[in-house]
Amino acid sequence: MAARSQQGRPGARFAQFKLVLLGESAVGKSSLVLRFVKDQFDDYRESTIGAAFLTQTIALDEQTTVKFEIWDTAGQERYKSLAPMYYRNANCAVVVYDITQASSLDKAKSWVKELQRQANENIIIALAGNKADLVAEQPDKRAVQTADAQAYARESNLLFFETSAKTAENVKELFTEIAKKLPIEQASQRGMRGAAGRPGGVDLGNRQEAGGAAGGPGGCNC
Amino acid sequence: MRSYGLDTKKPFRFPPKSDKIKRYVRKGIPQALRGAAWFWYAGGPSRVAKEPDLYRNLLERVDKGELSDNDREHIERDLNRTFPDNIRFKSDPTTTSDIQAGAGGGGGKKRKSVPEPETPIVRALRRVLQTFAVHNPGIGYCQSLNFIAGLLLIFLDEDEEKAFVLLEIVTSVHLPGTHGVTLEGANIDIAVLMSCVKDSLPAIWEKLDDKGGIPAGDPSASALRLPTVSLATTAWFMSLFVGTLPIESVLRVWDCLFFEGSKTLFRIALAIFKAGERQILAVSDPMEIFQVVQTIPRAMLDVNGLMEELIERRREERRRDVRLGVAGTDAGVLMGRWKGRWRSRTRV
Repeated sequence: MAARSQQGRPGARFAQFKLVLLGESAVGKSSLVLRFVKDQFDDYRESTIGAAFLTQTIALDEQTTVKFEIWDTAGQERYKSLAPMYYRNANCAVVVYDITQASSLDKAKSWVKELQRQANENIIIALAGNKADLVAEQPDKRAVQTADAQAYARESNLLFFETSAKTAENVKELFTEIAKKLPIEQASQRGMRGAAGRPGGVDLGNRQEAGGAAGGPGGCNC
Repeated sequence: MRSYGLDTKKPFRFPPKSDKIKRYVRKGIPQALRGAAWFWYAGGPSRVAKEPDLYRNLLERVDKGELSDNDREHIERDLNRTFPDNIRFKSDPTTTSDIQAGAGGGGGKKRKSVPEPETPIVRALRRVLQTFAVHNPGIGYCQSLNFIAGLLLIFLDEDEEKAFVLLEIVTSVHLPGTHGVTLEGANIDIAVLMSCVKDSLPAIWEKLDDKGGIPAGDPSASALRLPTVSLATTAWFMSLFVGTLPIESVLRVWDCLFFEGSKTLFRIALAIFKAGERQILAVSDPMEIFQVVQTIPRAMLDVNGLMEELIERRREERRRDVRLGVAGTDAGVLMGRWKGRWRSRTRV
């Protein structure tokens, strides 16, 4: 199944990519995923312990289908030691902050820095300022100005959206824009998940090389 | 109970541990007795006897501002994310009790933006988590403790002190180090579980072992690399299966845990893998395996089946090494050694 590259129709492209969600706790990572994957929202979502794995497929156009394999991680600082496991071979990342909590943007910036230093060098990173609905109701709740975050995103070369998992604002757009930036052509030609080039493969396990000889880049650093 | 000459109305004493009682416990402690039996069999009364004023003193220390801002903030964030669908945790817009009351020195500050008043159990949860964090600087507040403390409060009639004491027992006796600031203990738990799978479910291990590259917690065991799927099991231990198994099953697991100790957790974890054997063997992609392992426990409503699997496992263990229990198997030896090492390391 993983190697499903073509979908019968001539010219059809299919590729799957690994996406990791990072950010301070309670900024809405799980809620964004829930909206994207199931189109649902809960006002109070149970805290994520460890990490959860979900998938969602979107059609970019009639020819092109992209499947996201999503790692939704726990936000609390102490879970950080596990994070490299999730982002190490990720093709893309969504770093989330809460637009009503200024400190959550600082945390997001430190995640971006870590990703740019440690993750796959071709990783596509999107910055998502979540909880836009709160600000729509009460503008004085805003703690991070759109322009500031936008400027930061631009200089760090990130996609940027203000989102609301509650109203679904910009959620689909966020994932669609990420998909558009991914190297679908390469991925679907190779007929495997993840095309983002050598420091990758996407399996955490690098299992193709499990025989031992290679132990590629994914197998040993940790 | 009556045959032991014990009160059945609001009991706090229970019959001494025996094989017979163990059989009863494994069949499930009656709902009305549950919390009290947990507290009794886990050794709650003797802890309280040892330091009778501990909880009250800790509340005072929280009031005096000894709780770190970081812990305070993370606790606040999770209060509304603990059993949000449970009626006792869900804020009730019709009552207007004072939000600040009992918030422990300004703990309610952050809540101003939330218009709905808190339920008493949420306030109790705040105090239990705050006092626990002050008392355990090596742990502080760790996400997942909210679920354990929350479920304890439900079954202990919101007796905060008892919930606090049981939380202490879980984190010091059953899962030492698991919730610590580095989560090192959690890694050890997972490594131990994986070595148990390797020993007792070799066919499944073959499938799981993708040379995932997570180093096991113990440096001397560097040969054992944890498979990707092991990441799915972090939450099993940290939350004592809350959120992993259906709640009915969680309660049955806790019945055994508080009676028999932490080996219960490993047995249940193995039973989950065993129950999913056919599904696991049917897929080959590591991510599909991950999804299977993540999904199996959520549907495990058949608690009796799970328990039988457990008991059967237990019998096998006994046959192998009578009366030494889990310490008798190869995995058990490993587990004992690691746990022992872990304890000695944390004590220094």
